[in-house]
Parts: sequence; structure tokens; C-alpha cells
Amino acid sequence: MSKRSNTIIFYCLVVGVLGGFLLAPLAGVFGRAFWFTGTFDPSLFLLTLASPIVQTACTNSILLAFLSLAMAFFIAVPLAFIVSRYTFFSRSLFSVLVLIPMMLPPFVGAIGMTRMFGQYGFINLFFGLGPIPWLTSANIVVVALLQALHLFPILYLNISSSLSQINPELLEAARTSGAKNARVLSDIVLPLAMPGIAAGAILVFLWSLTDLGTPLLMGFRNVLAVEIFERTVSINTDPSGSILVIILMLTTIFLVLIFKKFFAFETATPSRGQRTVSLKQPSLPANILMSVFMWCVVTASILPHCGIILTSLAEKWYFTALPTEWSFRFFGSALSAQGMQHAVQNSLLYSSVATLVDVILGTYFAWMIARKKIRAAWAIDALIMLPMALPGIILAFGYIATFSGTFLDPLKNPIPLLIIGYSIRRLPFCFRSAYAGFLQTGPEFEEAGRVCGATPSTIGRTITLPLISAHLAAGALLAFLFAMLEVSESMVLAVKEQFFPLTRFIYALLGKIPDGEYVASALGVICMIILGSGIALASAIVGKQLGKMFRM
Amino acid sequence: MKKLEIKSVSKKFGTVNALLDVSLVLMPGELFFLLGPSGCGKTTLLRIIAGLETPDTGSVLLDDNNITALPSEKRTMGMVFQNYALWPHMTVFENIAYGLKRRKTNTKELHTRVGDILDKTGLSSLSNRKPTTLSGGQQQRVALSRALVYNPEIVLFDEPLSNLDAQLRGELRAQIRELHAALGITMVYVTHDQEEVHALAQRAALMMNGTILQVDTPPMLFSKPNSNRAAQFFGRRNIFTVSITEVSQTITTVLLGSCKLTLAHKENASALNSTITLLIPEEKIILTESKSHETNCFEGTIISLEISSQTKVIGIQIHNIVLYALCLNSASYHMSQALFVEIPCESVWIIPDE
Repeated sequence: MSKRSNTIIFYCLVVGVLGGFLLAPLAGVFGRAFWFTGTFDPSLFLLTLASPIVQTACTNSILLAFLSLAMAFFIAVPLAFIVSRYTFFSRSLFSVLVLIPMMLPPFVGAIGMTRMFGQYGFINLFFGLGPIPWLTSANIVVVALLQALHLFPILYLNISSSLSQINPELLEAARTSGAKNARVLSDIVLPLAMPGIAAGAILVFLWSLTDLGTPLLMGFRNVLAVEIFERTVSINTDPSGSILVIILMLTTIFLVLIFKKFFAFETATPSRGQRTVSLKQPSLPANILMSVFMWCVVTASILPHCGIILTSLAEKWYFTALPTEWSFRFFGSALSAQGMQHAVQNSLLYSSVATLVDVILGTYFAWMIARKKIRAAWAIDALIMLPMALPGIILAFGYIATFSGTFLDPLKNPIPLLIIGYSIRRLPFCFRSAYAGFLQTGPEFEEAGRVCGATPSTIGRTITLPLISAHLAAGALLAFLFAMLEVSESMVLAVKEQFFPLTRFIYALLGKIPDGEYVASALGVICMIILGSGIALASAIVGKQLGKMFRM
Repeated sequence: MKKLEIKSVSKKFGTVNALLDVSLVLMPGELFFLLGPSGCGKTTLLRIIAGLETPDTGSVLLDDNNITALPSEKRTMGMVFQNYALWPHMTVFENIAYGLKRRKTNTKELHTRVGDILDKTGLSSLSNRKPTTLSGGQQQRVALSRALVYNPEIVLFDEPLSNLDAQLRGELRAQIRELHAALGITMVYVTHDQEEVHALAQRAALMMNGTILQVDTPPMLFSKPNSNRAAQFFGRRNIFTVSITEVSQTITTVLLGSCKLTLAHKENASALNSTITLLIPEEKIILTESKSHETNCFEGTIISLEISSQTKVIGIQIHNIVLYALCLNSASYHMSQALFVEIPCESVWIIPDE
């Protein structure tokens, strides 16, 4: 294939896939918001903007995101600094455990939290504290804490990945120039790690800002994501949902621009032959202190998981710290629940097809951008990474706005749009991981193959793919796992039960059967086992590079 | 053995001219060097020869066949990369055998040829090892073997020794020289290291800012640079702009500072009072304790001494100029010492105007 035709295919794919299923739906939302009467009319947009409910929702959403970010920072920054610089007891075990919070299945996390921190939950009863209402319903701090405990690993991975890339010689140069540890930290380490910190911070902020599951389950409903969700049913008659989506989108863009203005986003790639940071051996008291801190964080962050596991195994658990009778029967009920098999099949189908699409497209886009001199590569890179910051609910809303009444109408058959939506939102994982693989292997391996007489397809098969396969596998694994955990699009697009994926099924199950909470917890445990093995595998394959996949 | 010809090749990266109308002819079996500072375009030219870059204009001819549009994989060239580019997922044997496999060489012959080259380069015992477990020198030998094993028509070297220590560089230079002598293949070698040029090159092209300044043998490049820029690249210090004070049928006299310097060079009478640029090679200057000649012998004082492992460079103040002379380390000189400097008139090189 000639270079020209390859470039044409690339641009066609970019326009077709990202233009058609990312930009067009967003444009569709704009259309419904501003052209609902047939002509351009911003009056309703301004009216909605002035509404006290919307203003409160905006304030609550932003406040919630800031709170979550602050809490995540408080947890992740010391963790990353300690893990990247020191060796301490159980360090290797900790590096796996710290990823567990990411695999909290949606909705059931709240069950686990209630079981642990409820008025008659484990903490109060076990320590004899009395019925302290730790979780006052609709409390913004509790919602933020839940989100922070779920999202801090993203910040942790970004920061530790950044720290691991800092050439130790730069720190040594500062020390030989007379800088003390604090100076080295403030003048060298922090500025160099800032892209990683900023990239992680923006993701945590946006994921919290647009999170639907936690506020919905905790009853904290006056936030933008929940307001939008509640308006999806009336999308064709009421433009206020579209207007809220635009407000959320503008808030997102505004905040991303602010972050970009104040923090450099260039990611430093380690130079060739760069030494790696050697870990310091702390003194015994410091070692113990670090280990205790780590275990406190891990314990706090996995409390919801413990709550879910205990609930799934509890035959009888009323007003006692731990269940009084144990049973596996809810696992049986979960596996035999009506529609369960179908939901698992749906989830596997949507996630695996979406992952396959992501691997193919992500690798192709990454190859073109990393290896070919593509015009406006930075813009295409930004466009591919956009879904990382784009809330699922916005995209799902956009799909309904754009494709209702067409052959892709989600009300008739949401499967194509669910798969497309899953793919578009997880494309950044596969793209970034393949891109990192291409950058890390460098073009000279392929050039050496060409000089030796190999054709481009042989080079791809015998040199490029084996060298970047670990990156591809890790990207695919993360894309698959996050697709399996997908909430927003599933909630909005999968309306009929026959199309429910697992997460939507769990949500439906909670309010449907008497033992819903227990059965959902059992399903949650099954999800956790699958996700935990996946993330541990991804972490083992790419190590500290895992953080790079969460970079915008 | 193939003749390689570069015809008016230009290449631009964005707004930067990497190569500007470069032309070269390499004789069959020649060990030819592309020499120049970083960013002068030498690696770009090598990559164009390899087919890894396409020139914007101009052509590459191999034995008069135009191969400009021929993809790299069809050119039958071997290349040794600066960072070796050994595939980390393959063993030493697999790395070397790769080019033969692409040429569908039968298994028996493949094993024989890889075995031969492993023997020649002393890598036989490492054939099952992965490249990452090898030292820099061993990796470079694997890269060299991989480039030679399928008998390429041209072998290209992109600063192959720049990552090695002095001793290994010396050993590998000797190995490349022996291989070139034994195989007689046309080789193109990119470097910025003048020592490497002196040690290996039959001819070299000095490149700067995307153009070729001079093509010649190493001794000629070094002692008779064709431009001020070339002289400066070779680290020449005794470059002076002087005015012609006297011309005759056999000699020319110029004013070097306040000293009259006679050159074995004919100038036209019209050149009188005009200025020329001179290079007085440091290694040609003779230092004596007493005045040996009436012409071109000046008294001076040592004002600097730069000592290296085998030689020393002595800075001598002669009236209002400073002249640098090279001598062996064994010669004993000290600061502020008075001595005489003799400049053989035939050793002075007049640098042509650019």
C-alpha cells in the first residue's frame, strides 16, 4: 500500500469513527439544545442556566469533584512518593493491593460502605461506638470520600509513573549543586512530576464530576450527572437534558483548559540508557511507619470491598458486627437469577467486540502518529484522547439525540451503539498503550528489518507486534475491564431488559428481588475477582507504565 | 562490488534543509566516510542511501541503476545502526539469521553462513543469548554480523562506535578494516570522529549545513582544507588573514602580525596588497633554541601548554600574534620559555575563498 493511500485511509477512519461517533453526537446535543424550535434559539439555554436547580446542581458537581480530588490527593501523593523512593515491608504486595479500589463494581460499593459504616454497621458495632451516623444520606463529603477511595489509584499510577521517569542524575546534579532534600523536591522532582500529577488530577476531577453511579446510589441527586440521567426519558420532548449536557461539557472543557494553562502536559520520555531510580532502605522506625501508613490506606480503601464480600456470604446479619450465619447460597442465586446469564453474555459480547475494535483502531492510529509524519497529529491525538475526559453520560445522551429514528436507533436495538460507545470511550487506553509501545521500541528496529529485506507486513508480524505485544495486551485488558464496569452508557442506552449488560442488571436486581442486596453483592464479588485478576495481570505486564495509560 | 552515485539530492524536514543539492560518487569497494558536525545531514544522506528516507529531489544510483524509488527491503544493503537496533525478543542467532530468512535461504545454508560469521566475529558461544544480556562491544559485533551475513552490495554504518569505550573502538575499527579488506564491499560510514576517519577511511566527504564542503583523502582534508569552515571543523588554530606585501615569480611574502612570512606560492602581481587566509599546520612548525634560518624563523615566548597523553600543544606569543605548535610529550618546554619558531614555507596552506 502506498504512503498516500495509507494516509487517506487514516484520515477517512479518523473522520468516520471519531467524527461520526464522537463529534457528531456532541453536535447533535447542541442541535437539540439550541435548535429545538427549528431555528437557533438560545433563550431556553439561558433560562435553564439561570434556574436555581441547575445552578445548585452545577455548584454541587464542581464542589463534589474538588472534594474528591483533594481527598484523592491526600491519599495518592504520599503513597506515590513512598513507593517510588523507598523499599519497605510488603512493598510488592502493596503495589498490587493499591489497585483494588479501581475494581469496585458500580452500585454494590455503596452496599459495602453502608454495611461497614452504617449506624448499625461493622465499625460502630465492632468497636462499640454506638449508632454514630457516619453515612448521613445525601452528604457530599461521604459521596466525595467514596469517589476518592475509588479513584485515587489513577492519581497514584500517574504520579508514580512520572516519578519513575525522572532521571536520577538530575536529582544528583541538584544535590551536588548544594540543594537539600526539600529543595530537590520543590525545584526538581515536583516540576518534573507535574505533568503526571496534572494528568491524574484532571482525570480524577472529571470522573468525579461526571460520575453517575455513586451520587445516584447515595441519594445525592442534585448533581449534573443525575439530573441529566433523569431527563433521558424525555429527551425527545424536553430540551433541558441536552442543555444540561452542554453545561456539563462546557464545564469540562473550561476546566481542562484551566489545567492545561497552569500545568505542562508534555510527558517526558526517559532517555536511552537512563539509569533507573534505586530504592532507598529506610531506617527501621521509618520502615514501620511507612508500612503502617500504607496498610491504613489499603484497609480504608478496601472496606467497601470487605463489606460486599461479607454481605455476599451473610445468611444472617442483623445488628451484629459480623454475620451470625454464613452461606454461599447468594452466589447460587446470583448465578441462577433470571436474566443473569443473558446479562453476562451481553456484557462479554459488548466488551469483547469493543475491545477488539479498540485494539485494531488504537494500534493503527498509534502507528500512524508515532511512525508516519501525519499532519495535525497533535489534534488527532487530542481527539482520540478526548473520550477519556468525556463523561459516558454525555456521549450516551448524544447518541440518543443523534441516532434516534435512524437505523441505529437505540430504542429499537442498542447493541451497535453500546459497542460503539464502549469502543470510543476505551479507545484512549489501547491507543495510549500502543503509542507508548511504539515510542519505547523506536523505529530503528523496524528500519533494521527493512534493511535486512523484510516487507512491511513481515516486519509488523515478526518485529513490531512481538515488541509491543505487552503494551497491546495491557491496553486491551484495561479496555475490556473498564467496558465490563461501564455504567453511564449502559444505563442510558440499554432500556430493555434483553439488552442489559451486567452492571445495568445489578442495578435492576437491587430493587427487584427481596434478597437483591445480597445477590447483587455476590455478583459484585464475582466482578471483583474477574477485574482484580485482570488489573493485576495488566500491572504485571507493564509495571509502572500502567500509569501512562491514564494520561490525557 | 558496486559503484554508488548520489545525484543532486535535496531533503527538507519542515522548514529545515537537511540536504541541499548533494552529489557524490563512491567507487566500487571503497570505504567512504561522511564526516561532519551534528545536524550536518550526514545521517539523512545515509538513510536516503539505505532507502529509509526519500529525497525531495535528486537520485541514488547503484551501478548506474536508479534505485531512488526502490524500497529499502529490496536494496540488498546492510546497515549497522548507532544504537545497534538489535531485536530484544530474538537471540543473537535469530538476529543474524533474520536477513537470510527474508531471502528464503535454505536452512542448511542459513546455519552455515550464520555459523561462519559468528566464528569470524567471535560470537559463537553467545548465539543463544538475548542481545540485552550482551556487553556493548558484543552487541556491536552482532549488529555488524547481521549487516554482513547476506552479502550485501553496500554496507552502511551510522556512527557505529560512538557508544563504545576507547579500547573497544580500537578493536572494532581493526575488525571493520579487516572485513573490508577481506570482503571488498563498498562501505559508507557516518561519523563525527576525525580519529575514525584517519584510522579507516580511504576517502571522506566533509559535510556542513546539508552540503558537502570537500571530498578527499583524510590527510588532504586535514592539511589542505578548502574553506575556513573546514579548517575550523578540523580544529585548526593557526588560521590567519594576512595581506600580501610582495610577489615574485617563485614566492609570495605576506605580513603575519608584524613578521614577514614567505610562502612557496606564486601570486599574480595584481594580488599585491590583497588579503588571503592562511593555515599554518601546528604539526609542521619546528621549534628550535637558536635561529636556524633567516627567513620564516621568529623569536617568541611560550604562553600556554596543553598536554595530552602523547602530544602537547604549545602556544607561542610572537609580537602581536599567537601561534600554536604541536610536539611530542617527551620534549621539555616550560612556560615563559624563549624559543625560535620556524615555519617551512612549503607547509603553509592558502585556504581558498568560499
